[in-house]
Amino acid sequence: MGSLFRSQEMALCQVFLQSEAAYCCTAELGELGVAQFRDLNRDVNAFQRKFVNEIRRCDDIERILRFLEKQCQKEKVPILRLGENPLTPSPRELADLETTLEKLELEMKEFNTNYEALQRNNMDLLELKHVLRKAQTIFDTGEMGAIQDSASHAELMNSLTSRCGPVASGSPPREASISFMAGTILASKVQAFERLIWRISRGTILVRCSDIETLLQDPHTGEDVRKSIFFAFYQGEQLKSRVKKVCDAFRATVFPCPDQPQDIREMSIQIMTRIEDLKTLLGHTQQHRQQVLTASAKNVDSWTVKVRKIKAVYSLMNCFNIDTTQRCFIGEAWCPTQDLERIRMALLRGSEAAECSVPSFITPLKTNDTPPTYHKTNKFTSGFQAIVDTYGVATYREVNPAPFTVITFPFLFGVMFGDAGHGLVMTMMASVLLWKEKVISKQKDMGEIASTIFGGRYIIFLMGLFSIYTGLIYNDVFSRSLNIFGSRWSAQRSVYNLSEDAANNDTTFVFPTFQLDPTNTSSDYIYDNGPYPFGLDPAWQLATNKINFSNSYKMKMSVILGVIHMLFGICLSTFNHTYFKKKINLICEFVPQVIFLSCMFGYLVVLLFYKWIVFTADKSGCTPGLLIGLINMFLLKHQENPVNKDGTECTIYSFYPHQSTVETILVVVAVLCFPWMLFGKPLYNRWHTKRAHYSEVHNIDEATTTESSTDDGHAGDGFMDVMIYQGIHTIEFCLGVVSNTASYLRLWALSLAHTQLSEVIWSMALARGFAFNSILGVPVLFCIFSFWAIGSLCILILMEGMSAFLHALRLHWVEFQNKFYGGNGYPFEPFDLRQIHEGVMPEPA
Amino acid sequence: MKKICGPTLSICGIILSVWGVIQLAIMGAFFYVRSVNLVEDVPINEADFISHPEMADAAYKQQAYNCWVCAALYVLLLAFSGHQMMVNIRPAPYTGM
Repeated sequence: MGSLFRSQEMALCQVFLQSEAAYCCTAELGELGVAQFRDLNRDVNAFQRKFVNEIRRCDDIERILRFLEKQCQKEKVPILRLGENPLTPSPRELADLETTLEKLELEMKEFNTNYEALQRNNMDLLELKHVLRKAQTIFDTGEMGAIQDSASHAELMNSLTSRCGPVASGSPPREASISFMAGTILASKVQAFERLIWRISRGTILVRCSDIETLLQDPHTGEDVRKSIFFAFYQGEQLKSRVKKVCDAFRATVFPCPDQPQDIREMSIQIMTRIEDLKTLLGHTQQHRQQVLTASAKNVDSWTVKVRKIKAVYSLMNCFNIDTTQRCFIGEAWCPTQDLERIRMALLRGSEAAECSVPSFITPLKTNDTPPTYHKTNKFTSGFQAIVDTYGVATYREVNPAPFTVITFPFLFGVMFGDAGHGLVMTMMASVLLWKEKVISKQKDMGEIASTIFGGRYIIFLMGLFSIYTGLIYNDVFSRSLNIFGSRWSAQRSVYNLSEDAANNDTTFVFPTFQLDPTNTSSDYIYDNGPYPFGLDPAWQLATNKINFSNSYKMKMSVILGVIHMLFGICLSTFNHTYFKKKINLICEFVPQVIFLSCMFGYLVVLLFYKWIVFTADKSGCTPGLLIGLINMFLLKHQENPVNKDGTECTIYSFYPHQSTVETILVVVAVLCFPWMLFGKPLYNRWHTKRAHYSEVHNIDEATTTESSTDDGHAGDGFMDVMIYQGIHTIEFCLGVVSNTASYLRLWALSLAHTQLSEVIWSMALARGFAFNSILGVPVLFCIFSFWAIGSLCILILMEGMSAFLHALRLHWVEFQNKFYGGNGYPFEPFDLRQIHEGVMPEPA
Repeated sequence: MKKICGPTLSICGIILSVWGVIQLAIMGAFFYVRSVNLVEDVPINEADFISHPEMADAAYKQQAYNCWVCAALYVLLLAFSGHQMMVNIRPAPYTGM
């Protein structure tokens, strides 16, 4: 069982794999996911590695799979997402997969080209149909005759005779054979087309154009285009060739169109049948394509995962060395010592799978390298470990702050957030995430924000729970208080008989703000059953001086929590010192640090509790100011107490016997700690090396004197280094004690901000919903409540929540962890094939 | 089975209406028992509060009824959002070519 207190013990091991069993053993190790392999062939080019061919084959297969996925997406065939994790297939399966997929690819490509050709054919036929229809209208209405008989025809003849003088003059005006060319052209080019033909023919060619109403689909691009039909009427071969050239230039399609009505009708009928046939053919092709795609869509995901796994295994095998006999692969890996047995079992399984008689084995190596840091976490602790690791991964075998963060982080968040209503909403939302955990974790394409929030669901849940707790203590539910146990305040004194004054009906009468007096002489505060049992008395919510009271309380609470947190951090450093066998640190760092902190702020905390307990409301005029007292303590200024009117002492400076003596002693001890921290360790180191050196020289009789001189030099340098380091460390700690304690006051500041914001939102928004004293208030309240809820959610829960999260995190990272945390490690990234299933590609180290 | 809201809007509607139902029901109960902490929300000024306490009681009761009616309206909104959610999860049968 791993523990979260320290990182796991790691061992550098050498893995010896039989060449036949190498693939299967690596696959088994990948499924296990507990070994981080080193790249032993780092300086080898990617193209010179051993398994570059296999990886290339895998890349090809991946390319085909991507093509298939794109086709599926285009045809809107849903791809089945896998539930379970397919095991790494054997190398034989790779070859099978290759052939299957290559065949599929060819089939799909063929389909696509055929389909495109059929569609082009279809479009041509459709255009021809339109052309024929138009031709039919032209010839049916006898327009052709009209053209032949019209005056324009005579003009045509005249212009023809005048231009082609010698040719036509000799022949009598005969019934000229007017032929025509029919076709389709893009609607946008019609104007230019007509103009060009007019110019070329010098007005002798008649062009008739009309648009096709229905939009046609271009088979190549899939877009809709608008086309028009044109009829060009001309005489003679020359004009025909000119028209043909212009048509080619404009990329207009020309169709052979008969000029007799019956021919046109026959042709139309033929075209219709051909179009019908083509439509059925297209339908069948499309159906077949859908079937093939659906069949392959079932397997696409499984194939993708399998191919990625094969590729990962081969990439890892590229990192192995081959020994001289070419029969054995050697790899180096970091693995936890606890899991060595599991790795041996996995290697055994791999050898069995490959049916290899010679076993593969693993042996630990001795090394001076720092192992990676591996924390065994489960789904609950992994979130907290992640936020600790974000600041810095723990040094190998250092105390891990994460198990403490599980409780202190949500607690400090709750202190800053402090609203039971908002905490309840947060808890509910987090519990929905927890309830639907399994379903949501299967989804692969969540956004970054959504996956971050989902990853932190346990953190948010705990934050909400602690916010409910602190909200009940602050007695703050959406800025109103709950009166669960009965408030201890009640206005009893007869002076406050306001009903008489109000009954005078004096409209200018202003109600005074009155004070409820908690001292023993009045009965405004009922002591009989003890104080309000849990949390703040609900009467404070209606008090105008609520902030004065809560400020004092929250500031003191922040300092107390801060000092406790920091002391705890310093105490954690003892575990590090004992583990790394640095007893000198215990004496020269831990003890003076604790004494220094306790003498200054530990003493302040004790005074806080003393003041809370000893000073009652009766003595409220004569209470000491603790912060002034602390400053005076350090200035060694001890003042005399003044005397009250009735002769008693007013304890504002000195409030317990022998206070000046105690304070002087504390100051002297604290100041002494500074040189203790500064010089303790360097002096001890110097004395230690001198003693070792002396005993060395003493033991070795014929020691060369040159050795001693160099040693002295070394010792001198070492002393300066340690001195400087210790100086920095000491000054940082001593100044940090004051600044870090003050930094904890943000617990008060954020809590105040949250309370005030919550109250403002209530009074600005929701209170307006209660303004109507009739049933008219219902729709108003309905709308205003939703505004208030959305505003609360966005501003108070999301924005303030993120703010409190950030500040609690900062308190942990800086104020808590700089008392003991090193954070110089590097994380453990094992070769884990299970990650591929979740869509993460592993990189070989 | 008409789809008026998308999936995001229906989820927001569900969350808002559940919150509204619970909170308005509880607030209505607190108004009904004339809780002191809600005294600043009741729409009656201080002079009338002290001289005519029965007006204060009536105002409290009116706000309680308002809250409960609103809670009922939010139940309707919850039903509507839930229905839209169902429509979004199970899309209409595919009738196109």
